[in-house]
Amino acid sequence: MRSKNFVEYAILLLFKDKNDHLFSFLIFSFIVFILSSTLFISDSLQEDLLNSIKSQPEIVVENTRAGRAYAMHDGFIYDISKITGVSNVEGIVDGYHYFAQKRLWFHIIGDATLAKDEMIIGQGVKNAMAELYYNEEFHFFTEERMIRLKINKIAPKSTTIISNDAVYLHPNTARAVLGMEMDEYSKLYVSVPNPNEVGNVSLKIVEIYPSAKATTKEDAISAVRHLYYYKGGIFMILYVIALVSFFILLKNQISLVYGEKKKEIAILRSLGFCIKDIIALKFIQNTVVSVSAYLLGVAMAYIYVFMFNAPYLRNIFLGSELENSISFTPVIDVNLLFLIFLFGVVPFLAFVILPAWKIAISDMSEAVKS
Amino acid sequence: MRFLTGLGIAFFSLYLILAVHALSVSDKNKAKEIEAISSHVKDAKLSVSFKSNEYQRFVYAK
Amino acid sequence: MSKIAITNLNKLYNPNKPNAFYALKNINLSIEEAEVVILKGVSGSGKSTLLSLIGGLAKPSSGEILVNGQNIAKLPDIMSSSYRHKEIGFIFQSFNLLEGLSVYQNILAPLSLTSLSKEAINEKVSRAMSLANIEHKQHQTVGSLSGGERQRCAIARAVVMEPEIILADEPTANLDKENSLMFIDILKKFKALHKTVIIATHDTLFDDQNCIDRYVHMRDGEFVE
Repeated sequence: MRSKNFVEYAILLLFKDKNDHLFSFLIFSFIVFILSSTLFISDSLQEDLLNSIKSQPEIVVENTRAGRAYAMHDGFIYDISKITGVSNVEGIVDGYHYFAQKRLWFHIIGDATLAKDEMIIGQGVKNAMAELYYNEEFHFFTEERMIRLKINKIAPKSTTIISNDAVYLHPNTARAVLGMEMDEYSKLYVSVPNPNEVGNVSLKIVEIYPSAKATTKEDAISAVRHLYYYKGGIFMILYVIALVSFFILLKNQISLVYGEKKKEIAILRSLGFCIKDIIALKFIQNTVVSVSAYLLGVAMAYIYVFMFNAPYLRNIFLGSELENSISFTPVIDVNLLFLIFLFGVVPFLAFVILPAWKIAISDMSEAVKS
Repeated sequence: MRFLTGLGIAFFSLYLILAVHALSVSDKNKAKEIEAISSHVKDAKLSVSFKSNEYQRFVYAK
Repeated sequence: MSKIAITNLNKLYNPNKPNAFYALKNINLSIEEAEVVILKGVSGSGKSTLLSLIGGLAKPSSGEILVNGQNIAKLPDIMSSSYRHKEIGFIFQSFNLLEGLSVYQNILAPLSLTSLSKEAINEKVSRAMSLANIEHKQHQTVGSLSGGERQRCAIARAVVMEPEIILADEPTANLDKENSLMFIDILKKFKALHKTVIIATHDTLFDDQNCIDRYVHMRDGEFVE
């Protein structure tokens, strides 16, 4: 255990080279900030989405033609309800309406609990409509006519994650807006009380209708968990940024023990510092820098994501065409934060301590004479 | 030692504020509202708005 | 028993290489406690090398260096470092101060390895600064000091642990006459404190000084009469 005097002297020497250490500190904080922010946002979104699929039906059936979504009719409902194990089949209306003036897609969702002319819209939809002065009512332009609907309610802000681009209408109104027939459905919700039969039932559905897609609840949950899987696209860019910064950092760390610093180690050795003392000195200095940088990076990420709702970065996850006022619920994955700590702090320390040890064991008599 | 003590206190205070924030943010309400809205729109999807050039949505063929 | 007893000391640089050479050849030397010894010789005569070996900064190729009866030539790193820390005060030709730190902070360096209280540390540093006459500059960074002041800071650092042996390598090489004479005054203080002092120098200022007990002449790594 090092004496208080030794620790204080280590900090004194740290401040002597404060510019070099400050550079390492800032870069490391930045890396931790980027990684933690990404982690916080994706975990928070996943948590909310998992809440939203609690009522997910056991199987969701969609029809396709030429690889595109295609409507279904009552015959589908009849055939599927005849499959053993199926307790109920519900047809729903769901689709997208192109808001040409703003070049945006609105997600039209049929909700049977609404009245025929009732309309609930999401926050992003409200803002988009308001920009073109659709404050009280909205006009849907279809092939055949214009449908006028009053804006009754705005979906609660807390549901933005699933409602931001949504317009909830009575199913028949939705059909009119989407240009569907009265007996047509976009999706079928199939209830299968026995979870062990879900697999069989979905296979049978596809047997009857080969062009149909049958998604189970398990598939949906798995899709949510893999939504921001650390592989694709923009994540690679973020990680490359973090990696490049990390190499700059490591290079800086190595330079902390070469040049003038090499002589400094020799001087300390000549005054009675043994090899272990030199290593302890570098360890203390760089632990202070790396741990502070880590704590600061994580704290800044928390503040950025959960207090300021991650401006700019959230557009990477959610898109920026529609204004998104989502608020992130604090979700902290301690395991991953610990991994970031381990894979950050350990190399940070190693890239200083190893060269320092190498210099400490070398002949000091020549170094102190120069 | 003064520096380390000061640093420790600063981080402790910062994290205390963050912990208080995390505990005070009531997510029960949020979870309830999300569940409520998704109970009658069961197949909820993440609401994203990325720019897309193609008409990748529904095409209703006659 | 002599304070320092050197027997058959050799130092070979670049062994097994074409440019191998003996910096020290078969050196035998005894120094008594509180003796002040001057190692005289031109550059390359081996006096700095001898000082480095006595100071535990390097290891000899062969031979013995007994200090207080202990052979320091074969000590492992921890014991060798402890020896340098407690027994030796080394004043380097280029001073070897830690740039960016103040005079006080430089003198503090050896004390950081102790568990002394703040008061005890302050007392030791004060005493060292007073001996070296550098108290008035204690808060200044060493970069802003003159050559003579830098040396006095180096002297204060060398004596702060109150070592019994003081080694000085060409202490006046980078000083003007006035500061060189100041060093002689400090040497007299060392003598009064019964320190064993070995100075490697070719400065004629050290000739015929009363405080010096012995002159040892070196050439090509050997003693000459």
